[in-house]
Amino acid sequence: MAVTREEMLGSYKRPSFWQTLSPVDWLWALLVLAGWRESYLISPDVGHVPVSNLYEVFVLFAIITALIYLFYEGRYRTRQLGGFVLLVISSAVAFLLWYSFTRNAAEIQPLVPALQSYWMKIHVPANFIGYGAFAIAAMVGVAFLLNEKFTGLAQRMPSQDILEDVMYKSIALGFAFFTLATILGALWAAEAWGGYWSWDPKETWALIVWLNYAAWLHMRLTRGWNGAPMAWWAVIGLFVTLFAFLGVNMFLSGLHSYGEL
Amino acid sequence: MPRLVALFIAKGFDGIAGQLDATVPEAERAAVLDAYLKVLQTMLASLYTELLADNGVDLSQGISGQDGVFFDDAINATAAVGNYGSTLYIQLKSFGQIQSSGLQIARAPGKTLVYLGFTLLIAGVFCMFYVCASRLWCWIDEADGQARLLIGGSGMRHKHDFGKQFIRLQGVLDEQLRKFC
Repeated sequence: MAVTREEMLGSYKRPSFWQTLSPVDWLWALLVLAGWRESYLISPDVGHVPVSNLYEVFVLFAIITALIYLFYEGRYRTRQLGGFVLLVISSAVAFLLWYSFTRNAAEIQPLVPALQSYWMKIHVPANFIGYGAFAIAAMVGVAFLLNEKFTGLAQRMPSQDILEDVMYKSIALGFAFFTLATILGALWAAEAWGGYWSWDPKETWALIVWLNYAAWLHMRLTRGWNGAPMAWWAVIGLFVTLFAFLGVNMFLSGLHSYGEL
Repeated sequence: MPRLVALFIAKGFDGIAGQLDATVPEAERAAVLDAYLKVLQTMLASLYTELLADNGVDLSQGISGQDGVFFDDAINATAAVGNYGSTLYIQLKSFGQIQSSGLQIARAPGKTLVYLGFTLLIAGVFCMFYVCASRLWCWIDEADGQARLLIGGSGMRHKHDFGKQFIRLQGVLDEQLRKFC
């Protein structure tokens, strides 16, 4: 295990999370808050937390992924993973641009009656902490696998040990919040649809994602699995997550049809 | 000849043309088709006049213009019907909307208990990841007349952090124990 002298002495200072935020991050946060406020300016009944359709949740996804990443960047004092995580965030932003230019998706729409509930404000963000954390884990997994293949790259990257730790930490974070989100969803469903669980495609796929990461964590924590197989698994996990996030909306219909593509 | 009419009703003009293609040599087809159509026309026309007479229409002045147009339309419609595979058409003429509401009532006497269970479950999941159990073992024995301390530990949930903690602990122990030496 590579442990530096500083770490041994435990006297190093971590930059705080707020210190890792750049002016661009603040500008971005300001723009989102401005959009949020704008929805209330249009009309008080139109105003809502911007998590109600595919455009809004994609913005949320990009923000949450970036924030979780910045948290780890500060915590592990490494900026090398940024390039990998930014691939996901950039794809999300590219999608957002396409979506708003071709479909005019950025327009603020009033909430459909089904979403006028305080549950939405917590269920959706909790879910996206899960999605964001899983995306980071997958990109760290990609970095891990590339490091194994190319020693030149590995020399510039943090140790494999740290990558595995980031991967585990972000999957654990994502899993905990995904559990929370699923339970909040069940409570909302009980209120809105009269039952905790109705095997709606989105629910079924959320369960598949949850079981997938539960198995990942179980294998690591009780079987001690590590290394490349776990990195591969984290990468595959992103595709499962992606299907639950987008595939279900595109190919399956059901009660969760708020963000059509 | 009734077979010709049956064919016309089932498949229209295309059916008759198809039948000709299959049974009549090419050179004679045009002539035969002409004859067939004449026969068909006469038969259907006589059927139609009979029908009109049965319905008490006065035919002494011949068929009226309106009835003639209807006949032509009927022939065209019958000829085309075969293409649709069905002779039955349903057309909505009017509808009466019946307003109604569906009410679903769910009773959940155990709701509080369920909420409590969910809270515990979520707390449990967070504790599992963020309140980690670490284990330490110490083994003291004697080697070459000196006391020897061997320590080991495990922290499955936070291997990386525990590794650092362990090394820090090692340093602290080393420092403290040296004071006694």
